[in-house]
Amino acid sequence: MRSTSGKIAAEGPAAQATGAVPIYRRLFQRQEFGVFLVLVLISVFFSVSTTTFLTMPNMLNVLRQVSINGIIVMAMTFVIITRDIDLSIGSTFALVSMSVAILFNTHGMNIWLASLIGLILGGLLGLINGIITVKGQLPPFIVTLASMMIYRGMALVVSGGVPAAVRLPDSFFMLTGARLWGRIPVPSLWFLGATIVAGFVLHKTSYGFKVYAVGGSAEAARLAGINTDRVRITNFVIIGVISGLAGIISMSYLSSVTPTVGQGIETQVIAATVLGGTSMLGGVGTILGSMLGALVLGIIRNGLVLMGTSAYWIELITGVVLVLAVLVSSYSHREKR
Amino acid sequence: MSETEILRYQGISKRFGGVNALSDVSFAVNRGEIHGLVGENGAGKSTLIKITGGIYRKDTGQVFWNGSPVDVASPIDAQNLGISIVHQEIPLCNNLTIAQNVFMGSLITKGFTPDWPAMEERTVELFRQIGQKVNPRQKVGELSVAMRQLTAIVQALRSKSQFIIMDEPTAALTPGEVETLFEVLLRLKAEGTTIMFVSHILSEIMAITDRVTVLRNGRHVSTVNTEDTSIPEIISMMVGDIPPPVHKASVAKRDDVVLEVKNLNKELLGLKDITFRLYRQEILGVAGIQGAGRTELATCLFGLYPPDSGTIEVEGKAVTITNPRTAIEEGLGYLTEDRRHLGIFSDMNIWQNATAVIIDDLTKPGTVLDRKEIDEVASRSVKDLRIRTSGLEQKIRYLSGGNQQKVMLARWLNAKPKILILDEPTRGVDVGAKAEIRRVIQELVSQGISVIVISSDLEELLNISDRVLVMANGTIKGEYLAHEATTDKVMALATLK
Ligand SMILES: Nc1ncnc2c1ncn2[C@@H]1O[C@H](COP(=O)(O)OP(=O)(O)OP(=O)(O)O)[C@@H](O)[C@H]1O
Ligand SMILES: [Mg+2]
Repeated sequence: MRSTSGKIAAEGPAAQATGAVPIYRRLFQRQEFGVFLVLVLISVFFSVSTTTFLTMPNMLNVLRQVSINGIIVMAMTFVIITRDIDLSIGSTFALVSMSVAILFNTHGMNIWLASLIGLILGGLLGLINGIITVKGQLPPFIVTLASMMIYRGMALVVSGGVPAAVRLPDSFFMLTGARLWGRIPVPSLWFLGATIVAGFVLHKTSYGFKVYAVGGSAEAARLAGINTDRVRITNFVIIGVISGLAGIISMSYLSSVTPTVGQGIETQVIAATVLGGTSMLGGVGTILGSMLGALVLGIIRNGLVLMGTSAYWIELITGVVLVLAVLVSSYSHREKR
Repeated sequence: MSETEILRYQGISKRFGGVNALSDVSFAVNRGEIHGLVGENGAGKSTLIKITGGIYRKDTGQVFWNGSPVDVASPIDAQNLGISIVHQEIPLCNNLTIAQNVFMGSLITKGFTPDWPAMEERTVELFRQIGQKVNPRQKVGELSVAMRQLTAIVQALRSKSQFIIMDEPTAALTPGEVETLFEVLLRLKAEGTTIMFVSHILSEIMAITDRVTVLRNGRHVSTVNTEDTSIPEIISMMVGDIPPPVHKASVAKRDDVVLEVKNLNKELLGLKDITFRLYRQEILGVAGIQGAGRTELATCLFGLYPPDSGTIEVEGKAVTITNPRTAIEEGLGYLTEDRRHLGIFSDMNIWQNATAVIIDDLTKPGTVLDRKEIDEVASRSVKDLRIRTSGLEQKIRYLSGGNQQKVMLARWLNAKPKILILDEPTRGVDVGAKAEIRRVIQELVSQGISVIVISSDLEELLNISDRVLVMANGTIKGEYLAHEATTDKVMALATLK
């Protein structure tokens, strides 16, 4: 875990102060410091209160558990920075993985080709969200709430409501859902890869810069000649593709797919993104923070299960911890009075 | 179409609902000149500029660029033609740094990656040209209004356009900064750049422009050579005749202290050891250059940033002000200089904005809003301050900048505070309204209110005040009675190290 965050730390926000400030001060001032602190606190807590938390198999397990949502968190960070939101990710997740399963199972299509078609489908679903929201000048909350139902309905319709088992070829399984050497879960490598790519795009490219500009002030960005509509629509396409990708990886890992899969992941993903310091008001957020946010959320669940907490309590406690975590992590960069 | 014309407006009209913002406006801007654009608040200056910049579409008429008809449909079109605009409302991204804002539309890149060091270096260089030292990595959200204005100006200078339009760029600047800006404008002009310049300060128009266009009620009145006209003539073209300002004698009661501030400190704002008194019915001016701590002092007194130490007494009673609510309860009012961010509720309408502070007083406990009384109060404000609006239900964001300012003033006048702090009250208001606001201030003190006025327009400040405090580096350097103060004396104190 420590090694992953170390790798990403190289990809800081575009304009972070460097210079003569001592390292530890710079660490405190970073907006990710709060969520990092939360991560350390809960990790220490669970290490002390359970014997199994701090073991290699469990760490790998946590990584696997967070990876599916974590991949989408990366795209959600872009979307929320431009003051948008996408509630339809769970439905896109289901519709894409269901479609890939049907193409593969019923039509005997090559799985690679089926997956490619699935990703394009995910992009199209995102494009529809984006065009209706941006060109129709509608609130993304409403548009994606509606498409959440529509895409879910489509997944139910195409599958007839029936789950499907998928026997994937080894080559595909190895690269998406397997555990390498029987240990390292491949989905967590996708999570790591998504984090690195997202970090590069958001913090190092001009596209990423435009995302921040649109989120800071769409009006100012437009006056400066930035095509704000295109940036926002692209974000919706990205999160569509990424949700589809997460769906395919999940299908591969589980070797099955149900049309109701991915229900409610939008709350998990949005919670992780905001916990990582991305502001719902737009313009603020980092990939490092989002990654830490995803980890924190995963660790809370994992730790509670290890402690033998009943399923009823887990939901309640997760909510409480979430509020506390947001309080702690926002405290460090609150405006002084 | 003459060779010398870079831009011609031909019969431009624009309606917003029931308001004719522009009616059949025609005039031309010549290549290489500095062209002044003047008119009352709401005359249509910003609307014309926004049409030029592709933000609004004209209803009828034609814009000619270098002699050929053009259709500017978006800000990108305007940029491609070579038109840069500094807008009145200064749209910037608060979450980004100065350098990022300056280069927002056209990043310098190395491969995929924006080359921030190069852009930061250029930013520092551009600011140096307008006489400012900046940290290019500072977030724009942390900047003062003046620095935001300068950032917007630098943004326009950066693109090296043929034609630069500036909508009230000097409203937020101090005289020194205006002077440097004018040097830059003259240098640009010498290099062949054409500039269109809007200001309500007519002495600036006289000093810098070659020709002036006057708009009135959305119509073109006249375009004249600056050297062939005069300030009174421009005023009469703008508004008809206004009575000359009468200097009323001071009514301040110098034995009755309303506000006494002793040894006030606030480290966060850089305020050090502030001590002063405000007498009943006095108009106390606060002068100083940018960064002297004038607005900081006001926000501290008003509880936005409560003081670290020191005492504040209102009418001889020590008070603790921890937030604006308690400040209002103690009888203070504060008109902010940052109208856009700290003043207007942009999506709310005129009556809501004008009565925001007193809405509880206008409503009997446990009942619904008393619209009759609210409307009465709000319409009185509209009438007294001559606010140009299509009605009380109009959203404030659709008013011209100067008229928004008048609504803000109305909000605090309606609150009838004991002590009213006015931070740049006449920023962006036209000559007629300036006289109006001045009259209102004098009326306020005659009704028993005591007023603190912060203004960068030193001449105006000396004219209106009974006494002037001079601030520099977060502390009070000295004071003058108005009749013994001169702009030179005040500036000498204000720039004292
Ligand atoms: N988007 C809009 N919707 C409705 N009315 C508008 C809109 N923009 C401007 N107006 C109206 O058009 C008129 C002209 O406004 P404009 O902003 O051009 O004035 P201005 O000359 O720039 O004034 P100021 O000196 O106060 O900045 C005003 O009556 C204003 O209320
Ligand atoms: Mg204007």
